[in-house]
Amino acid sequence: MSRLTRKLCGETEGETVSISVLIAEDELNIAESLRFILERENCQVRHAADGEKALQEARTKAPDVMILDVMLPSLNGFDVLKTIRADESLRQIPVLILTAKGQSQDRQTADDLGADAFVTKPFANADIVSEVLRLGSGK
Amino acid sequence: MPDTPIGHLVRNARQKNGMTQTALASAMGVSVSYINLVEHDRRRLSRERLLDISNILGIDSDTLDGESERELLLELEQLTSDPAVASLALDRGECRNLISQHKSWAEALVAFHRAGQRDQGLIAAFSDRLNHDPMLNDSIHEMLNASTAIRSIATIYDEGGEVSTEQRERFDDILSIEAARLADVAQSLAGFFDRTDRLGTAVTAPEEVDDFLFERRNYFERIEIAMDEVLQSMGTGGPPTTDDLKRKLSNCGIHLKRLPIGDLPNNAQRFTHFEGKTLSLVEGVSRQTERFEIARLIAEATISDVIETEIARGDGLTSNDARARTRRALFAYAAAALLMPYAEFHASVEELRYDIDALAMIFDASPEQICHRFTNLRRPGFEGVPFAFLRANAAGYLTKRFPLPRLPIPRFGGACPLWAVYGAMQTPDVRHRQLAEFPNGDRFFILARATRPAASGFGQTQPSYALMLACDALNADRLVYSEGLDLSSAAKAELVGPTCLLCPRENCSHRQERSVRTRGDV
Repeated sequence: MSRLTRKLCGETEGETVSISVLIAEDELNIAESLRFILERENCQVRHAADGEKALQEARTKAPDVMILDVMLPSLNGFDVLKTIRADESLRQIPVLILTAKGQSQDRQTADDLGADAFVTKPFANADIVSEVLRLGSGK
Repeated sequence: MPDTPIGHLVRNARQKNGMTQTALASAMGVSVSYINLVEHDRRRLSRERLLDISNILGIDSDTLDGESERELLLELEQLTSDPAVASLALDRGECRNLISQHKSWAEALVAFHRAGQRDQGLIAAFSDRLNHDPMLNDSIHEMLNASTAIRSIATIYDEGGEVSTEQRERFDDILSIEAARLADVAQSLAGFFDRTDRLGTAVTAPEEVDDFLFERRNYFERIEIAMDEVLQSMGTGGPPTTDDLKRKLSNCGIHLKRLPIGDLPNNAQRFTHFEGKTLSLVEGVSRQTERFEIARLIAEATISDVIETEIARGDGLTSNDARARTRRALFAYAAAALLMPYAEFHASVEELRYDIDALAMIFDASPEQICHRFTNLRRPGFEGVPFAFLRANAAGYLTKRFPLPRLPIPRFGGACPLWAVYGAMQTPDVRHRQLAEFPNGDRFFILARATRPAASGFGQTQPSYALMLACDALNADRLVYSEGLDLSSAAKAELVGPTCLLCPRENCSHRQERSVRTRGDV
């Protein structure tokens, strides 16, 4: 466990914490680096490459945190978020929206749909990690 | 023509001839004060007086006609409606004075205004392109994704933590892939901005084509001759039949294919599609459209060099878009020249007195094709009636326009709602005749008819159009359509205008917006 994790989660030496993260991202290279930095923080990572699959994965087993790219094939990130917020069993999942646009309209839409965090590409690894740990610490 | 400031032309010509006002007045048999008023644009010159003056001063009556002044005045008046100068309340009288006394300054103003409008159009086009161009959006998306992966892995390396050999190899691969992707995006962006440089005057391409055709009076001798030769090579001994055309097309190596309705590719134009060496026509396409399309392809296969020469001579065609549009227009011109060979067409036109339906039967052409061809009849020695021609769609938007020097047709949007072309839309297939008087006293005979949309399959909407021809009322007696109408100058004419913006008829119940003229005349 990294020092960052311990610091953010306020944990004591020896304790282990495992946050499950579902990454919905069609850019496989980005997904791979996300997986690496999150697994390094002891997270359990699953990955879905499109919106439909992301919903299926979430329904199969709700993650502690979801990282949701906006520009996804089949069902875009906003549609996925909307469906999650309308679904009783998924509603509580904290969602981090990832966008390549970074436009204020995207941020507004994400807020309106009930996103918990918003990070624009190209992101800093530390920002993603700290947001995931922050959102996951409430479980 | 009180609206056209030609007084300075008379004054200059008189002074050049070393004549005093008194001498000119005496030669014309008029008073000195009359000459004085004419030279100060306070009296309109009748056609007879204009001819008198041009004879006495030894100048071409066309020079005194004030055509260039009229165009200049129109443009100056349009300029007064520009929001940038609205607060100055420029008046129309001053426009005339400016042209009369400082014509080159007036021309400079108009040139600046045109340049400003062109630049505004360019800015709008560029801005639109930057905001909405899908290629730019995709590039930005690609760039952000590639740099995200690179940045993320670079940070992992930077932190110096433990990374397995296998993982490191994967990361190295990703770095190399994403770097190549970034390079590709950068290259295509460079190409994009290279193209943007050449966007140039593309915004005004349709105007450039209009000007190109208008300056050449919509007559191209070389194309006429070339298509006459093509026709001779077909050995038809007259206008070609559909079988003649199909044979020639086949000789050009192009095949004809019939498709059921709905089978055209999505990018096809209405009823026809040409790809590779095959012309596809949908079942139900009119014979006239079929003939025209075949003739156009024959022209493309046979006289491309002639067309390219004409385009190369068009100095005003400054963009590839304008040249491409002109190319299309000239191949359509060549098609008409093949289907309606000049000599035969001109002879029939004069004999049948411009009877559109009769000519359509003889030449197996549509009324629109016949009307369009009328505007080509400018061969020296074999000239037809000069016509303005326009086509309006159901929204009133002018989709084809060929103006006359004295009958300007708006470049954008619609014209005066009183023009017969608009009334014609309410009663398709009925021929509308109109003796129209413009605010400057010019009278035109207007002929208009709307066509019903072509038959089409369910769910397919075919456009419907209204066509309009207009000629100087003085020429109307050459048309079969003038029969039974009093077209003398004493006859009552319908009072129309150019567009509301330029029309001085303040009390017209059809007025939609305030005229720029009223502001100045107060």
